[in-house]
Formats: sequence, structure tokens, C-alpha cells
Amino acid sequence: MNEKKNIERLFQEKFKDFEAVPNEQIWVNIESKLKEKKKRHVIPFWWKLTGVAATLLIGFLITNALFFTDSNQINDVVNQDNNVPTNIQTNVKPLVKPLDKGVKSREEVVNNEAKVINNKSEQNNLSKRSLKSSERDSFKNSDVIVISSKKTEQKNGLVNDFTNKKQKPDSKVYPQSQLNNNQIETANLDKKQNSQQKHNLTEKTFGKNQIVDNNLDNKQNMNLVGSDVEKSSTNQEIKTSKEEKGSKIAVEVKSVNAIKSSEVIVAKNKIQENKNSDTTKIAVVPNALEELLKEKEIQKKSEPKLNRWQVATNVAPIYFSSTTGGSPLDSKFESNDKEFEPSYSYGLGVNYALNKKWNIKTGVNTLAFEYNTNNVVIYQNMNASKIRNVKNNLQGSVLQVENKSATDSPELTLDAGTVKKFDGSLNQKMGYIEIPIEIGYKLIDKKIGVEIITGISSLFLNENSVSAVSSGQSIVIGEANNLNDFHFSGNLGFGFRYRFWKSFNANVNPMFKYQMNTFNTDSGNFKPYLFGLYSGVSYTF
Amino acid sequence: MNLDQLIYDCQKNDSKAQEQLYRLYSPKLFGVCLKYSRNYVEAQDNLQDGFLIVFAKIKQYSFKGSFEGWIKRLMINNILQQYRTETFLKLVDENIAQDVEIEFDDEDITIEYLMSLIQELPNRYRMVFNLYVMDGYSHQEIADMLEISVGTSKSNLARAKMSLKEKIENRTDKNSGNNKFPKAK
Repeated sequence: MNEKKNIERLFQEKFKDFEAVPNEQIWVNIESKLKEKKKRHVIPFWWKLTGVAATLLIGFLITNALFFTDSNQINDVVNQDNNVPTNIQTNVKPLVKPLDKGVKSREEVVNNEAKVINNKSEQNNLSKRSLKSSERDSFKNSDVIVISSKKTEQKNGLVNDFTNKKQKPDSKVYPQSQLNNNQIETANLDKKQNSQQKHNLTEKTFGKNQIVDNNLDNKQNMNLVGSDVEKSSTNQEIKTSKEEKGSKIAVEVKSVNAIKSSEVIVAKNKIQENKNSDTTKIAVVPNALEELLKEKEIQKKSEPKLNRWQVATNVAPIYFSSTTGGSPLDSKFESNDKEFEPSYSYGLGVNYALNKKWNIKTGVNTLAFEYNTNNVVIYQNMNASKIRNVKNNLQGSVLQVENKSATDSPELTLDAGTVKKFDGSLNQKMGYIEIPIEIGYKLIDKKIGVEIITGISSLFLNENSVSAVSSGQSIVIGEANNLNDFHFSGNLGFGFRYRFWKSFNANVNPMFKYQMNTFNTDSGNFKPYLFGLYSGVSYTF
Repeated sequence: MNLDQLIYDCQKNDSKAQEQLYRLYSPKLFGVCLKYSRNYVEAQDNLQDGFLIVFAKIKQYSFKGSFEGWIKRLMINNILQQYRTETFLKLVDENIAQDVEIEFDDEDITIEYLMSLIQELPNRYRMVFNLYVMDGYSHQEIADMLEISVGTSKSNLARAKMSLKEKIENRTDKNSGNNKFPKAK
């Protein structure tokens, strides 16, 4: 039978309620995959955690390594700083003498930079001749110098004033010092030639340097009006000792002597490099100035170093106990054995450093106490006499809780036969929000820190329950009605800190916290305290 | 067995409930899969993947609206996802007639034959045809689901119908089929 039909209707009619039973194998597949998924669920969770932990660990290690190498480089720059500005100062000073003072310092800066660039190019030239590795070194070196030149700008003013003061009284000094400088320059050249020719005899070179240095120092001392002889001599001593150090290192690194002689030693030979520049070019340092500069720098460095703020997380296992054996629930449980459950406290803390030694701490912690009063009997009794300091709930109102030893001694009444009595314990829980206010006094403050901490905490009650526990079953029977909503604790403890990375510290603070006025009326001679091992990570900024 | 209770148990990953749910819905959904897939094997794969998605997402079902609608939509969406990645020619021809009538012998045409015709359609045509004709989605809905324009959806539908008509006519009346084509109203 042929008929005209819309194609949509054809399909709609044909496929109306179309169903097809799939192969049984498909359900088998689905089922196995579902089971697989269930199993897999557990593993990825741990994998993620361990993954995070591993990444953190690796991250810490890498950044740790980077940081420490960084700090070394910075130290070197600082060392060089001390010398470079003064060196350039003396070199440049005579040349710019006629100029206006304000202009002078700027000019000097420019000159300094020029000088530094000269240094650089000199070194680069030299290094080109030396090994490839030394090229890399020289690159580093020039970096260092650039940094130092920047710092030099900042300090020049100071140096300027000081030299002005020192040298004003006797203007004759200038030409002489200029002469000195010339001499030094020639000495430098000599020395450089020497060192280039005698790569392997660095020790010798150092001997020479020392001599040059000494000579120069002497001259400089003579030139400087009013320069302190004692100071200069001590400085000299320091220098010689430095040089000794340098030469020691030189012995160690004989293999790279070629590089050394071309004055581009970085890495291990940083001190050596300093010495080279010290003794050859910077030998004319006025000693008093150097010392003053050092002092100022130390002051500048140390002041901003005090990072006042610190945030910390902590988690602590809490050991809760009582100094006396009373019971806050009812005096009839006073003689019962109390079993204190360990619990945990979590929180965040903020520290503020008042100065280097003292700091104030505060924060927020959650805190929970829990203890069991053992050896009680629990049984149903419609006319149950309530525990004195417990406000019963519905379940609790029909449960009689007695001290076992008290009920044992007299003959059990007749209804004891009909009512089943259960041995058990009473469990009391108290939860608090704790806000400590503590002060800490630092005993040791290095990579490892130790401090004494004392203070008080305000505790706000946020959990309060009493449960009857028998053979593993627990029924909440009410809440204690003698707990203060708010009480204090006296805190005393130690803080141990280990700086594992930059501004991050690991902290362990064993704290003893004695609870005061926990109970408002009848504490039943129960004086709780807690001992917590607060540990966590803190960040200083 | 209360359906809501069954769904609730499935949400709790109860394996017996999951099997029951599968038994209950697999024939209907396999029908859907057959229509939307290119062949029987792919339909089986799609059914299997679809049910795994259903069991994974059943917690999101909030007992609002028909569960059958929800589960079917999930199934279809999954299949659309499967074929969406595949490229197909973009045909924009909106002037094709919307109603296509054919002459055929009703008893001559089996559902298996029609199914094979559908499965032979290019992916996009098959999707649009199924969504519009079989499952009653509007062109706007189809456009959203397939991330195409409404015009494209309409055009695809028309093309699909033309293709189907051609095939049916070629089968039922090879002599006259080609002569009549295209017959538009």
C-alpha cells in the first residue's frame, strides 16, 4: 500500500517507543568500571597530598639553595663597597678640587662610574685572553661591580664630606695624594704585568702587593692631616691578615691562577678578588674613613632587618589534667579515678616585635578538653537524682549515675534486681575559643631561636557536654551548668624556632596553661591545667 | 520499587541500585544511542560511557523534573560530545524546503532499515535530525547544544531529510525516485 507521508512523521511513528536491549556484556563492563572507580578514589586522594608535600619539599630545597648562594654574593658586594668608594674617592678628589662642591660630588660619581667601567673593560680584555670559563667569571664580576657602583653613588656624599673635613686644613695634601695615586697606578701596572707573567706565583704577587700596600698606607697616613696613627696601624694589621687569608685561598686555587691574575676571579676566589683590587687599586684607603663607613653601613643594615610582624599557624596536642583530684560535676565523684583524654588545639597567631628581644603575641585557637570520670554505674530510673552540676537533657533526666564504690558498699536495694545497672564512665567535654595575649623574650635569635613566653589567655566556652559512656556506647545526658562562659588561663612556656627558609620558621612551643576560674560556683576542688606542644610554621615580614 | 528511592540509593553508590537503574533504563537509552550513533558498536560504547557518566553525576540530580528526561539528556549530550570533535562540511543552504513528502509502501519499511538510514547520515545531520524529529528539541535548543546557528540547524535538518527521502525512494522505487527528486512543497 503506497501512501504519501511526511518524512518526519514516518520516522516519528516508527521510532515511537523504540527500545533496544543492549548486550549483557555492557553492564558487566559498567559494573567493573564502577568498582574500579570506587577503589581508585582512595588512592588519588593520598597521591595528591604526597604530591603537594613533595612539591613543597623540592621547592624549599631549591629556593633554599638559591637563597644561600645569593646571600654570599651579596656579602661580597658589600665588602667591595667598603673599598671601592674610598678608592675612587682618593683617586678622583684632586682632579675635581677646583669645582663647586655640589657639582663635585656628582662629577665624582660620574668619574666613579667611568672608573668602574674602566675596571670592567680592563677585566674583560684580560679575561678574553684567558680561558672560556674565566669569561663567564668576568661576566659575573662585572655584574658585581655594576652593583657596587650604584651603591657608591649613595655613599659618595658621606665620603665627600668626611674627606673634605679631613683634608681642608692642609691643601698641600692634594698634589701629594695625586702623586701617590699616580704611583699606585704605575704600581698597579707593574703588578699586573707581573701577575700576568707569573700566573703561578700568586703568593709572590701577594707578597708584593703587601709591600705596595704597606708603602702606600704609610704614605697616605703621612699625608692625611690628623689621621689617627693607631687606627691606621690596626687597619693595616687587619689588611695583612686579610691578605694572609687571601693568599691561603690562592694556594687552594692554584689551578685557576690564570684567571686570578687577570683579576676576574669570582666564585671561590671572591676574597682573593677583593684582595687583588684592594691591594692594587684600593690600597690608598684612608683607614679612619673606612671604619666610619663600615659602622654606618652596619647601622643601616641592622635597622631594617628587624621584621616586626610574624604570622604563625599552630597545631598542638593537648594534655589536660588537674592538679587536684576533685570533680566539678558532683562531689560524689570526687574520689573517682579521672582519665584525661588527649585532644588537639588549632589556631593562628600574630607576633609583633617590640624590639630585638621582646615581642607580643596574640591569635585565635580552638581548644577542647575532655576527661572521663571512671567507675560509675549507670541505670535507668524515672526518679533519677540529678548530678549536682549537670543540667540534664531528656535522656539524662531518666538516667541515674552513681559512684560505683558508693553503691557497692550498701546492700543493693530490691529494685536493683529488676533494673539493670551498667558499669561505665562519665565523659565531660569542654570546648573553647582561646585568645592568648603573651609576651616573648628572646634568649637566642639566630637560625635557631629560643624564647621564653608568658601571658594570659581568654577562653570563651563554645562546647559543653556531659555524656554517660558504657561499653562503647555514649549518651549525652546534659551539660555542665557550672562552667563560666569566659575564663582566663595563665600561660608559661618556651618557644623554639628554626629558620628553614628566608622568612619562614618552624616553631615548637611547649606551653603550660593553668586554668583560672573555669567554674563559676562549685569547682569541686577541680583545678585543671593543660600542657600543649604548639607546633607550626611562621612567616616573618 | 520507588524510583526516587532507587535514585537515592544510586547516589549513595549502592551497586545493587545501580544495576536496577541500568536494567530499568538501558533499553530506552540504547534506543537513543542507536539513533545517535553511527553503528551498533559505537552505540554500545556510547551507552556504556553514558551510564558511567550517569552514575558519576547522579548525585547532582535534585529530584526536580523527570528523571528520564535528565538521564536521556545526559546520554545525548555525551554522544554529541563524542561526535562534536569530528569535522564536517559546513553547508549553509537555508532555501531548502522544510517539508519533504515521500511516497512509500508502509509495510515494506522496517525499523531496522530506517535505523540504518539514520546511522548512515553524516554526524551533524544525524544529530540535528534526531534532536529535532525524534526527541522534539527546538532549533534554538539544538543550536545551543551543538554550538551552531539556528540557520545551520534548520539547513542541516533539511539536508538530512532530503538525504533520507532520497534513500528511501531509491529503495522503494528506483525508477521513479530519481525523476521525482527534488520534490519540494
